[in-house]
Amino acid sequence: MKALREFIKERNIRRRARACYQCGSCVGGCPVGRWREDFNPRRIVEMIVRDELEELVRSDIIWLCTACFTCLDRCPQKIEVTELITQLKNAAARIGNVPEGERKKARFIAEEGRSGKPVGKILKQRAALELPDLGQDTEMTELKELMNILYREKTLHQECSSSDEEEQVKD
Amino acid sequence: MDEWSYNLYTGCLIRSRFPHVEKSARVVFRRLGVDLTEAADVGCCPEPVGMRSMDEEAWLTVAAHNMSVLASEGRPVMTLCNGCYSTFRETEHLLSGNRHHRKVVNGHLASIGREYVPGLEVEHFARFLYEKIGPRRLKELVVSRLPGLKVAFHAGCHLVRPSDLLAFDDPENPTKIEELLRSLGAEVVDYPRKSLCCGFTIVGVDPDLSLKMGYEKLKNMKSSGAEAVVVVCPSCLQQFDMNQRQMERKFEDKLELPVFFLTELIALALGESPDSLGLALHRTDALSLVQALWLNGDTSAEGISQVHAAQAGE
Amino acid sequence: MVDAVRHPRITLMTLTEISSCSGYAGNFRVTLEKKPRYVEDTCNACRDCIAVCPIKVPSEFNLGLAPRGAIYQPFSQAVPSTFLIDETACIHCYKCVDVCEKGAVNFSQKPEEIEVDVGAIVLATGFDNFDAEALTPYGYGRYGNVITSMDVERLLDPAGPSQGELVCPSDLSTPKRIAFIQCAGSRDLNHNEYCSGYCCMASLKTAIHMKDKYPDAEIAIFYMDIRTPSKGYEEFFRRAREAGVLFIQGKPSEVAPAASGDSLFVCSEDRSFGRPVQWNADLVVLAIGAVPSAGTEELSSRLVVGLDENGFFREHHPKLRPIDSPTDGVFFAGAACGPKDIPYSVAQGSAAAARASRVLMNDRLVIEPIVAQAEPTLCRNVTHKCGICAKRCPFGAIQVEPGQPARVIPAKCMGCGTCVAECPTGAITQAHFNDLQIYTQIRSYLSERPEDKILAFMCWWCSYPGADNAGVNHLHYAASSRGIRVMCAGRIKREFVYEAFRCGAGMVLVSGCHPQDCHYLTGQHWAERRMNSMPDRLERLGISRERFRVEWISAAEGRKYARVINEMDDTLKELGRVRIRQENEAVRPGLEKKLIRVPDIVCAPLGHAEAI
Repeated sequence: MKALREFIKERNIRRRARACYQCGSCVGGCPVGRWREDFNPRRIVEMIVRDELEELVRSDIIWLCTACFTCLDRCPQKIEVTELITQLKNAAARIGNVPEGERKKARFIAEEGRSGKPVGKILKQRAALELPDLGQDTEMTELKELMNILYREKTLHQECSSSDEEEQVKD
Repeated sequence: MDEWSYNLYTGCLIRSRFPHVEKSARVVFRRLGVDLTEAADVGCCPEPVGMRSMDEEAWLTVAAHNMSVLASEGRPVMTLCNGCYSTFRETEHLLSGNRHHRKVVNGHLASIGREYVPGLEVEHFARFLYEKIGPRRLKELVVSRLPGLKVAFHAGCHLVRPSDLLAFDDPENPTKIEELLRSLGAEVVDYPRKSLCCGFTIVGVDPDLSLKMGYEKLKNMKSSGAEAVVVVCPSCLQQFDMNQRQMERKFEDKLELPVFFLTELIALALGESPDSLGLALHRTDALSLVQALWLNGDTSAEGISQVHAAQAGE
Repeated sequence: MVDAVRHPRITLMTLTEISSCSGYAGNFRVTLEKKPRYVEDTCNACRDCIAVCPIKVPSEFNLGLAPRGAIYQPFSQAVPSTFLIDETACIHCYKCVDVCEKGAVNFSQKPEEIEVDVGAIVLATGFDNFDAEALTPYGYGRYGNVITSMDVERLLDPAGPSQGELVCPSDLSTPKRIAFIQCAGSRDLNHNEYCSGYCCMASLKTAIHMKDKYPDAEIAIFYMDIRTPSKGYEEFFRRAREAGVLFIQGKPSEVAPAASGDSLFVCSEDRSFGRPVQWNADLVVLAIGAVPSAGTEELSSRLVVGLDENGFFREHHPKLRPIDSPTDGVFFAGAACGPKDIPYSVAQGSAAAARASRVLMNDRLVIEPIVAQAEPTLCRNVTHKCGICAKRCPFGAIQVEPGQPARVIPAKCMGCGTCVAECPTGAITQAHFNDLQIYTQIRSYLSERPEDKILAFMCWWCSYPGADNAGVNHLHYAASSRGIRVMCAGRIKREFVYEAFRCGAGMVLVSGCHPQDCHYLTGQHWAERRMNSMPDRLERLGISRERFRVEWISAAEGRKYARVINEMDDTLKELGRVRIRQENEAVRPGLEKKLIRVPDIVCAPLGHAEAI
């Protein structure tokens, strides 16, 4: 967990959470928290302040944040709650704690440089609507090269593809 | 009249799933005299929730790369998606305000021989329509009003939040786009908890919850009297339109709420025919509502035929 | 109020504003503008005019919950009871003129300028209510049944718009479930960072009152902390709980309307259970706090009395002189310098009266002799547009007219010396702390083995007592330091530092109060601004930057003073005498050039202080 500690420090996660006075306005307006009581942004921030980060980074809970920024917008102490949770997700990704759906999406972007590709049916519809032809799709070699560089040194990519980690997530 | 020219950046979702949205946007901008060119195909913006959650540094670097390529084209960029808009605006904010971020990003970019070029002007199409065109001009251009069509508007989180950064509309009660809708002749209905997220971004984490969030919103809209939903983001469109049938099945409730992209309604009001816009491609039937409106409404049929004649003449 | 207006030695002037003020404690001349009332004092408040006035505009006193006419009385106990006409609303139909038996309505009244000579001024300008519409998630102004704590006061007043009946504004029904939202706009960096203090007690009082009147009503107070610090307050909190008021800990995120009807949902966390709650309410009361009253900023510039970061008047010292303004003879009462509840305001009012009487009782005012003196022949303002001194003075003690030399009003000067340090031509001196006196001290301390010494400049109130504190506590610190005491860090010129190094000093320390503690309000700020660039400037000349240090040390921080001196002493030893001497030798010509504008100083031989 040493790498995690360093990561937490590097991203200033604890310092950015400290001014929280635990009013709970993030909870009252959270679109997820109203259905999933186990997702409680206030508690997440307090856990960051109290240095109970390991538990958070290993949990599935943090991945429930939709990043709608409602908590951040309404926070009376201007705590960047959404941003803090995003950093926790980043840390979780580094140890391979990623929901399968997210993992697939990320890998698709990393490999294709896009988050979706039009299938034949869509291409036909485009033609019918007289939209520009996407036939000669760019190879995006530069972007793919960049993605390779970005993920080469990252534990993310390695651990994402290692099978034992995947099993751990399925559990 | 002002002359506008933009590079159109459609984004992955519209490009791969919603040709009819792209069509309506192109039509509307052509009719408004906006010169649209094709932005360089740089790929995904990248998407501001999933990829940022996985690795913010990578997200920021790829976004910086894309923005630099687009900036070198020398034209402002028009996005059709809250996600792309959010990515570009957040990236600009993070890189202009934080020397550390800039150093890290430029370090990565250097290995492919690039550097972050600041100064890309990015516009969200809905924001453009409100700020540069405005409800009054739009009203003048309308030839076939949408009389009494009761619509509920969903802004989508990343058009208005974080409000400090985007500073567009009141995130708690965004009404600017509603003014545009009223100028088309539509009636805008208010509904409870208007600013809640549609839930699309967590479909890969908790699909059931994602559907529940979308369903709750649609139900609130419907019980407030809405006949249709208007969105300005393809993610929200996917959630409300494509996933609606699934919600209906899961919660055993007939919603049947057509979901329009803002430009589709504008195009209709400017006299475009539903066929030419590909309205049949909606997953939740939108065509019948428009046809019913046309048949029963007091829209000027002459106006429409004039437009069609003019188009044929072109 | 009625007693005050009847008092033979009190003159009440309503509808009157201060347009300017000159002079000083004991001798203020205040110019006032009395606005026309359009009704003469012969008015007997018979209300006949109200009956005929065709205008209806929202009543300010009733917060828009009831109308008033263009001719009106603000509220029934208003003093004076004479009516007045709202010029902006009046359509000049003159029906009131016709109906008034006393012939009191007089549209020919004009604004009057009045000059008064007074000895003391008390500012009791009160506060305004926070504008709840700014809290968009709570929907005030959007949902009819979201009201403020002030609105509810009007509704519960038996003489108010609803005759004391609590009603939902949407349909005038009696609410069954009422939610209070505390800290609405307070303790919130997006609005007011401060706590207004009185809202907790106000909501407790209102909730108990509601419970008395409507025992079946369900009342919930959403709160972060209930603050009950004064006498009897905590007991009152218990009374509210015993009365059955529900307390839900959590700051509501938003107020949402129900799918149909006018009822609302308060969306909050319920921290007792750590889960979100949507509490159904018929009426939501936002406990709004205080903001500075309108016009505070204007008044502050007319009286040269500064404002704090929240826009309230700034007291001379928040702990030690909370009644006094920085300008002698001007005092505060009530919420003018920050939100206060009733007992606190009353206490401050009495204190302000006592403070003012101290000025009025004496024929002569004794002031400290340490004041600034401006030499007219040297003042730059005669030929150029300058006035830096007046801008730096937080007490308004310097008057600068275009083309005229700056003039110091000794009775207003508090003697910090910031203007002296900032004057570009050296036209201002400070009695008892003039430049020559300070240069002489610098030279005496550095007359022998200067490279072994740390020369410390300290302010009178904080850092010098801080050093004292180190001594009193028997803390060990290096014997190499020599202290020069000035009234305020704002007095410390850059030239003092240059002169110290020219005299061969090993190290120089500039110290003063912590930013918020400056006894002269802004002296520390200007000192900091001046000294921030010092390490760079010294480095450019050739002096190692670690030989100069700036530290803010309070009177209680003896430990910090000892630590700073010890650290500096370590640096001194590390650098070594030889290197310091070399540096000093090398920079002397540069320093002499910097000091050339200081006459009679540079030419004096080194090591012989008595020679100058």
